[in-house]
Amino acid sequence: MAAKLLLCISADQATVAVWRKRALTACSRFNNDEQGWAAFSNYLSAARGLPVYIMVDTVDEDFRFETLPHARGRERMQMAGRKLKQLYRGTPYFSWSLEERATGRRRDDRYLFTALTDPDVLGPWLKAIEFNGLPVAGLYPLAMVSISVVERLRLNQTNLLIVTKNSSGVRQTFFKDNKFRISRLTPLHETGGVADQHYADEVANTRMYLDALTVTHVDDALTVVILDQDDSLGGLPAAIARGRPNMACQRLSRAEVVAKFGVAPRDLEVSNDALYLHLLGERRPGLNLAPPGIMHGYRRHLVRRLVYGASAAALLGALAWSGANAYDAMRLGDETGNLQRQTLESQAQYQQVTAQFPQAPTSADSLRNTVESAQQIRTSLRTPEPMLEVVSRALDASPQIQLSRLAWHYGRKPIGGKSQVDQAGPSDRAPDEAQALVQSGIVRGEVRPFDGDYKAAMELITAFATRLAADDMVAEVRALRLPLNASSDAGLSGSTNVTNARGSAEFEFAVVFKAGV
Amino acid sequence: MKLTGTDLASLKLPFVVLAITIAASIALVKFSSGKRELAEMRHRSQLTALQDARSRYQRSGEERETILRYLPAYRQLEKQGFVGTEQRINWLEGLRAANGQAGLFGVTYQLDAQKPSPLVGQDNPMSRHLYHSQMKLSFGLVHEGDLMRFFRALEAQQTGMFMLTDCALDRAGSIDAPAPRQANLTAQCDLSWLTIDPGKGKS
Repeated sequence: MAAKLLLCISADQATVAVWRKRALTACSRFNNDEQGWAAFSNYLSAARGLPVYIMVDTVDEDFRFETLPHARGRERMQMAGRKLKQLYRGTPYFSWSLEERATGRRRDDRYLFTALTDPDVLGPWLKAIEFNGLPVAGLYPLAMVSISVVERLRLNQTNLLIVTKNSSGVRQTFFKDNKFRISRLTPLHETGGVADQHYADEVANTRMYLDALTVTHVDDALTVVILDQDDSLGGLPAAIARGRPNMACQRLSRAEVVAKFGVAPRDLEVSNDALYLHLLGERRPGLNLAPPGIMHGYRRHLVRRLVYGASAAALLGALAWSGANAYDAMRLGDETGNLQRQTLESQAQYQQVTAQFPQAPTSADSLRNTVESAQQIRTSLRTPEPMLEVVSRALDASPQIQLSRLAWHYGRKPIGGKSQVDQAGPSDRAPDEAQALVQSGIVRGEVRPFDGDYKAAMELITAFATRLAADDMVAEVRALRLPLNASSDAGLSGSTNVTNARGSAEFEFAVVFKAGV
Repeated sequence: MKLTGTDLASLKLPFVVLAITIAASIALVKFSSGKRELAEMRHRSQLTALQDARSRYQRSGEERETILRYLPAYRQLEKQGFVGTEQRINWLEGLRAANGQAGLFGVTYQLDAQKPSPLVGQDNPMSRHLYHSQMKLSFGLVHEGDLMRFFRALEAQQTGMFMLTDCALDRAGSIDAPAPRQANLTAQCDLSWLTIDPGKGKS
C-alpha cells in the first residue's frame, strides 16, 4: 500500500502522521498558532508527494437527516446539490450520502447531509499543505471514521454509543442498527472522579437527546463502548451505570485498544488522535467533504501515479518478456551445442565408414544421376536414317518422282510450319509429351519427265504422298507446295496452246513422324 | 478535469518517463526477440544438419552399393568424353577419322561456344551440369548412304556424345546422271556435342 499523510485537525491543534506499511510513523502534534503552523509546514516539506487525508474533529459540524422524494442518477445529484446549498451557505465543506429508502407508500429516500460549518478551522493547515504542494485526497469528519470501530469490533447492538477521548474532547457517536445517527463533541475536563461524572452526565444528556428525537425509547437498552486509550476513564462505566439502569457499558483499556486495533502504544502516547488516525489510514470513509477545488491536486497526483504505474508496468512487462526470450535463447543454445556434438559424431562415423569405400570422383548421388542422365540422353538420340528409309520405300513405287532436297529435323517442334499434330495444342497432352522430341522432315522433288499434264502429275504426287503417309512411322504428311494450286481461294492463269517444255511439276511435303520413333 | 499550466508542468516528467520507458521496453523486447530468433534459426539449422548426417550415415551402405554399381559406367563416360571438360581436339580428330573411313571428300565444320543444354528438364538434378556445343557440318556425298556411314564412323571414334538435330541433303548437280566418284549430294548437318560436369561435391 502506498504511503500517505494522515492529519487530524481540531480547534486547538493538529496531529499528523505518515501511514506506511499499515502502521503510523512520525506521529507529531502541532498547536493551532503561528509556531505550530510553521512547524507543521516544515514537517510537510519532508513529506513531499504524499497525498494528505484530513480528518476534522470539531464542534463546528453538522449531521442532518432529510427525507426527499425518490430520484435517481443525475436528478438525484442535482437535488442533493440544491439541498446542500440551501443548508450550508457559509461553507464549501459539505457532502451527502443516501442512507436508506423509506418504507412508506411514497418510498422516499433518506439522506444524510454533513458539513463543517466553520471553514476557518481548516484555513492555516490547508494553506501549509498548499504551500508545500501536497495533494489533498479527502476531508472527513472524525465521526465518520468511527464507523470503522463498529466494524473492527464487530459490534451489532441495536443502540450503540461509542465514546472516545480525543485531543479536542470526548466524542460520542451513536449508531442505530449499525448505521450512523448522531455525533457530539464535549470539551475535556481534568481526570479523576469529577471528570468521570461530567462525562457520564454528557452520556446521559445524549441519551435524553436521543429519546427526545425518538431515535431511542426510554426503555431501550443502550450499549456504551468506551475506548479508553489513555486509561483515564476507568470510573466512567460505573458513573454511567449509576445514571441510567438500561445502559450497559463496555470499556476497552489501552492494552485492549492496542491489541484489537493494532495501533502502536508509542503513537497513543504522542496523541489521543492516534487511534482515529490509524483507523483513517486503514480505511477512508465514504463521505468526503473536500470540494473539487481542493481535490484537483490529488487528481493530478493520481494521474501522475497512473502514468508512473504504466511506465513500471511497461518496463516490468518488457523485462519479463525479455527474460523469457533470454531463457529460450539460452535453452536453444544449449540444445544447439548438443546437436552440434551429435552431428560431429555422426559425421565422424560416416567418415570412418566411407574411408573404406572405393575412390569415386564425385558423390554417389552424382554418379548415379550422371550415368542415368547419360542413359536417358542416349535413348533419346535419333538419326535421319528412318526418314531416308521411309522416303526410299515410297520412291520405289514412284520412279517418275525425282527428289531435289531432303531435310530432317529432330526437336521439340517439327519443321515445315504447324502440323495438325502440333495444332492439337500442348494443353491436350501431358507435360512430358508436350516436351517430347519429334522427328520431322521436308521432302522436295518433281515429276520427271513432265509434259504439262498437271492432272497426271498431281496423281503421281498424290500417290507418292499417300505412300509416305501410309508408313507406320509417319504421323502426318502435309503438302507445302504443289505444281498447280487448284484451290478456289487463289487465282489461276496459263495457256493450253503451248506445251510447257520448260515447265516443271515441283512439290514439297512436310513429313512428321510419330512420337517415340 | 480541466488541465492548467501547473498540471501540464507536473505531468511532463511522468509522460517523458513513460515515453522513455516504452521506447526502452520496445528496444529491449526487440533485441531479446532477435536473439531468440537467431538461436531458433541456429537450432533449426543444426537439427537439419544432424538429420542429414544421421541419414547419410544410415544410408552409407546404400551409398557404397551405388558407388560400386555406377562407378564403372561413370569411368566409361569419362573415357568417352561425356563427363568432364570438352575434348574439342578429340572431336575434330574424330571428324577427320570418320571422314576418311566414310570415304567422303572433306568435312567443313563450325563449332559454337559451349552453353547450358536444355535437353533434360529442370526436375532432373543434373540439368544444371549439362552443357552442349553446337557444330555445323558441311560435306559432300556420293549418295545418301554415305550420310549414315559417316555418322556411324564418327560415333565409333568414341570421342564424345553428340546429338544430331538437323540434316539437309541437296542434289549438287544433274538429277538424271549421278556420277560414281564425285559429290552428287551436299549435306548440311547440325549436331550438339554434349558434356556433363557433376563437380566433386558430395551432393
